[in-house]
Amino acid sequence: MKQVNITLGQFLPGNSYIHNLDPRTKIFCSLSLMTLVLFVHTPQLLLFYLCVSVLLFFLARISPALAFRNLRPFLFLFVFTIVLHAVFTAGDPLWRCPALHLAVTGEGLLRGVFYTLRISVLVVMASLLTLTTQPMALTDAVEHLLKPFRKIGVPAHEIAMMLSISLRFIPTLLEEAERIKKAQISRGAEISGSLRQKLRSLVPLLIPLFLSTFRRANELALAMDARCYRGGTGRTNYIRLSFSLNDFIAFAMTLAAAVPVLSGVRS
Amino acid sequence: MPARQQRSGHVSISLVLIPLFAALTATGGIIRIPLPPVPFTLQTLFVYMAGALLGARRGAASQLLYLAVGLMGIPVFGAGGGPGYILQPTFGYLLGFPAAAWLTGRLTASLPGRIPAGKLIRSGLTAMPLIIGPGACYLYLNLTFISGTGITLWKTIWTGIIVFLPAEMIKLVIAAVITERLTAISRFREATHA
Repeated sequence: MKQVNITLGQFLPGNSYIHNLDPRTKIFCSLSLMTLVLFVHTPQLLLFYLCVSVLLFFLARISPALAFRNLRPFLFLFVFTIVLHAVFTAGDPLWRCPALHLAVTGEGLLRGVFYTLRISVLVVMASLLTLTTQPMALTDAVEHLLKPFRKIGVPAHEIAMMLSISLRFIPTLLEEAERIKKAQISRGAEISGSLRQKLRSLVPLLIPLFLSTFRRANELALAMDARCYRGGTGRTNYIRLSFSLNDFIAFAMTLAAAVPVLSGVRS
Repeated sequence: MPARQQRSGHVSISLVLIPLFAALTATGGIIRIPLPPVPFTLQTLFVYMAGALLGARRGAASQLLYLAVGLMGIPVFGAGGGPGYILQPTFGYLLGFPAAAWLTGRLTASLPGRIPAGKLIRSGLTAMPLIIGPGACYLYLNLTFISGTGITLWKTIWTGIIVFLPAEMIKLVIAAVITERLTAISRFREATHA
């Protein structure tokens, strides 16, 4: 079980232009860029956004090898996309398979590669946000971005608070599960064995896990009471978010990157 | 939402229980049992239990929070995490979690104390289409529009629905057994509804 750095998620510490942007800027810009890429239908434009994402990784001083690591879970989807396009697109056959009545076409291969590249650009852009921003900074940004919606009943502070509590407790519960498992093995519980046995062994693992989760919930609520926690009203933050010149430059660059798609939509 | 229910000076237990259940579902996404042909993760087990133990609204809130945590880049979904996960063909199943927790909660809410295993199995079976339905639709839409591949309806039904059913049933039964035992402890029910 991989437990290293689970609270940091994909975050890579660094001190680059992108790392130092306000998290709100990063959320806004990456969402805008991703939306733009969804509207790309020509190879030239795709190449442009591929260059943009390479430039962004360069600005963040993150090696592109890490971008590839984020693409690994999509490998199956990519193979599937390329194969289906190659086989089902009409065109000049490059290679025939008479037994299955299928033919691989050049046009199909190109289309498959185009769609694969488009998904890759999207994934890479999305991963840049989480590679350069700590989950806690994202939580702060979410709270700030939701604040205007408090008037219509969105509990901005509570959402951010609950996000940080779950981030805090995921590693704890994983450790707890591991400890309960060992404790039950030491008492003679059968963890391995046939499929039926494996599934049965979940019951003595999960019941203590739930009981301890509820105990923790009560303790945490009591501890918050003891420190006079009373929600978001009048609460101050240790880290204050503020926009700097760099953030405005980032907004301007995002706008500039939007020009090719926006002009394409009009024509 | 919890903010409205707070008594002055007391932290609502919901503010703590909701994130802890989100963390439990996350744990379920990380612990996996190697089971051929697909790895068996426990998320949906916690989805049904969140509905049954926390009630409809808080159960749904906990699953929404789980989605938020995963999208923030913590690897708590089946195959990782991060905002790019939206593009995964299997993201639709995750989208159904809050709705399924809500319905399970609604269907088991009338019971004052112990929730019998049979009751949860029936409620879970009613809620299961809320996970599998959006999941299969998303699979179809994702493969058709995002990767531009055509997929036949029959293939969607097979790879998107039927393949998942046996494992889903096993998880639901385990969830029901555990919930019955947990809710039999009276102290436990009091804690969740404080």
